[in-house]
Amino acid sequence: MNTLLKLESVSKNYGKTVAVDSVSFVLNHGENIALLGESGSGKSSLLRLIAGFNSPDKGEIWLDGAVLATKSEQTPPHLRRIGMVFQDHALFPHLTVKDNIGFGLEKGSSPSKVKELIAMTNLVGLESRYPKELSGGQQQRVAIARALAANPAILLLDEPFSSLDPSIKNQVRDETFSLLRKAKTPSILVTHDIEDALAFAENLMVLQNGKLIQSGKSKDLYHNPYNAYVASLFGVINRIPQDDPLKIEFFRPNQAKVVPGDSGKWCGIVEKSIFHGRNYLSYIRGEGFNFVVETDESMQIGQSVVVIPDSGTTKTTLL
Amino acid sequence: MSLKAILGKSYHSWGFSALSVSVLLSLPLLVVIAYLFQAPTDVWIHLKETVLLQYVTNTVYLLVLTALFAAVLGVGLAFIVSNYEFRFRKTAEWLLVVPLAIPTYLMAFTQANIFSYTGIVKQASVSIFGGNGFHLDLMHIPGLALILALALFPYIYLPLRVVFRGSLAHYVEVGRSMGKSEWTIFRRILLPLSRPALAGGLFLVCMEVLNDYGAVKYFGINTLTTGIFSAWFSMGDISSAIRLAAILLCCVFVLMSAERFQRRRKGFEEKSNSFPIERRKVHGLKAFLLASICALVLLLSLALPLTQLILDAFKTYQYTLNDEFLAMCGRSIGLAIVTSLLVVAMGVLIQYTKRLQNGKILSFVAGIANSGYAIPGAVIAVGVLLFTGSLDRMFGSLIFTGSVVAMVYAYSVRFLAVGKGSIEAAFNQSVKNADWASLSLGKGPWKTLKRISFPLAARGTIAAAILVFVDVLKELPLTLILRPFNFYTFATRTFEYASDEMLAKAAIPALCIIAAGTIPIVVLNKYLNGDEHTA
Repeated sequence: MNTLLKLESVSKNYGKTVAVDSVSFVLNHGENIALLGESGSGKSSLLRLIAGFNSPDKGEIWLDGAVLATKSEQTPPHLRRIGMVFQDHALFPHLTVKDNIGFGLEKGSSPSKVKELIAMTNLVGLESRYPKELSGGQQQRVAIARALAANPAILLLDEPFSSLDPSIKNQVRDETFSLLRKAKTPSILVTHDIEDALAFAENLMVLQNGKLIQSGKSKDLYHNPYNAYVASLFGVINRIPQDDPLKIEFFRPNQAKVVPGDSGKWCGIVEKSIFHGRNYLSYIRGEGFNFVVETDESMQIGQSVVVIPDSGTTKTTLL
Repeated sequence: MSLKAILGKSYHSWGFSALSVSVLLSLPLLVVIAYLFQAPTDVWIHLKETVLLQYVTNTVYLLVLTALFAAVLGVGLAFIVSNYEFRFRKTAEWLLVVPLAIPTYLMAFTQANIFSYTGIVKQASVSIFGGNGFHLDLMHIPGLALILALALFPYIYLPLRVVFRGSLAHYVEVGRSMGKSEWTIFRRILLPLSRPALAGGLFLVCMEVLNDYGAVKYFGINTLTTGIFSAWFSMGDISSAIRLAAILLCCVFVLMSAERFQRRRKGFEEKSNSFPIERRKVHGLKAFLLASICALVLLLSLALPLTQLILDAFKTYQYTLNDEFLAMCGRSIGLAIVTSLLVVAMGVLIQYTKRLQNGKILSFVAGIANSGYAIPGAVIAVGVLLFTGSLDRMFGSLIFTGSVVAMVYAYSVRFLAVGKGSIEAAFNQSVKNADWASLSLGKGPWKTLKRISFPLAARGTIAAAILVFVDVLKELPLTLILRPFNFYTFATRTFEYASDEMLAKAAIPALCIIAAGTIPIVVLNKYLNGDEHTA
């Protein structure tokens, strides 16, 4: 695979706040990457640097072998061929669906391109509507069609599902990703939601405090997380107290059994047991620990139990 | 530092244009500061030994008293209309903003006339009570402070009304749920928490007092502003005028720092209340008392001055509505339109380029250019005079000094911040990410501005143009110093009639200024009420 986008030690500060701290990575042709991190971790700042809305204080950004941004100079956003789908969609409220989608087309482009995109994004019949007359999901599809119409070399998606109602989010997400797969445009998705990231790409990158702390296949990150933060992205983890203050040992809620008893290493009292769809999440508090374990049945509050982590499942990682 | 670093990392031509405009608008202020380092003249030494102390003490005394009176009126009235429901409340609520349309100098001329020996108060009291009737001598600093406060209290009333009904409303509900009286809630909760809004309002009141020339001149009170005028016009010494301007600037910076310090204080977070607070219904004597307080303020700040002006207008219209008046209309309105269009164009250029580039240098220079509104008109006028004077010396003839171009330039320096405020808000609230979306779709900055940013920010831009239009129409000290010979505007004509004790003849141009000033107030009030209904 050949390199499409390359970032080399890119940094950005806003006053005293370090938003992006020496981030380097490569996006290859035909590849999708999901960039994960909590709010304030620098993921949106990184996306804005790639799009050219902000310029890096240090480092370089390259696209297809040409330099896009250095410390002293940068290619303006409109000459970069990098499309962006914004968190708030940023549709032009004074233009219709058709005009929004056709906005990025060169003068004299074939009108069939807009028609094609309208058909592809399932917006037939809504061409003359204004953005405020559309549902959240429809707005999302217009934003994607508009970005794809300009034929970008890369598509950046900045938390595109966070403004959607939870009841439609999954459907819109599936539709969006299927559209992007059809368009075959290399894309970077920024999200704080692991489900979005896993549904979008096999390759994940995790940002924490502006630093790229781990990147790789999703399975690798799940099984060998760099630190407790990466481990907790995939759901709750149970931390086992350690002597080394810089490390933790942990297991996940589905990696332990709970048996009645009042003696054993992890003996505690059931505080609550909540139905969670397939099974129950039981919260057990003991001396120096608080565990959450998946159980098939509801457990009685106040019952004395022993938690037994499955053998070989506990992992050690950095705090 | 390389040229590219100065002009920004991309969009260099935009950076160059915006930076040039910002530098041009910063020059008068920088010239004033640079002139300070010249050796003092004999006139300055004389001023220092004789009247300087009086200038400073009078200015400070007037400032403190006006601020105090305006704060009492503004806070009290805001609390009354925000917390109590009584008959006449709704009308009073919006009418109390209207005195803002009356410039301080007009309020001063009119009130002095109303309470003079021949004024309507004296005449009415003689005909009602007989004898010598009622007379109030207001021609001193406390009297003028009271009059200025009647014109300026809406600067405090408006923001406080907004916070009492908005961000502080839930604290009122907490207080009520604890069974506290309205007075306790006001004293212990609202007053301390509204300090940032109060400080902001007080700052604007003080800036208006510092900028005033017409009222203090008419009342014969020597302040720093009148000092600048006499140093320049009577003694012909620009160096002393600048030194006085610098002292005035120091007052401004002290006030600005105090206001910023107040804003930075922690614990004053803004919270919005999604449910509008229910006003406490009052009846009987209490309702009558509250309505009377509002009515009394409205009578003094609005009804009496307007009645006086309208009566005077009827008396004098045969003499004032002539060709000269029409020419004056054309000049005043023409100047205001040209300036407002120019300011809006420059404001959009600076704001848009700041968004495009995020450049620190442009932000810094634009910040200096933006401080014009905080600088009294007389100081800007002196700065512009110096600048245009040096340009004229360069060209070897009198092209700029005393020209309309110099006036428009000075107005732009003074009112850029007024326009820019609305434009910036429109870009942040209406454009949001739309311009970035357009750029990322391959459209250049000009196309993006034309097709996306400008249409989306149109409402804010029109609001900016209206605000600048009205401010130019009202501006007196700057116009008096810079106008070409025999060039009259509504403001200068009103001032001249008043100075020549022909107050009745000033009525029609004065009413024109007030009518124009009412437009943005009605629009603003509609916005505020709209906000409340949607809350």
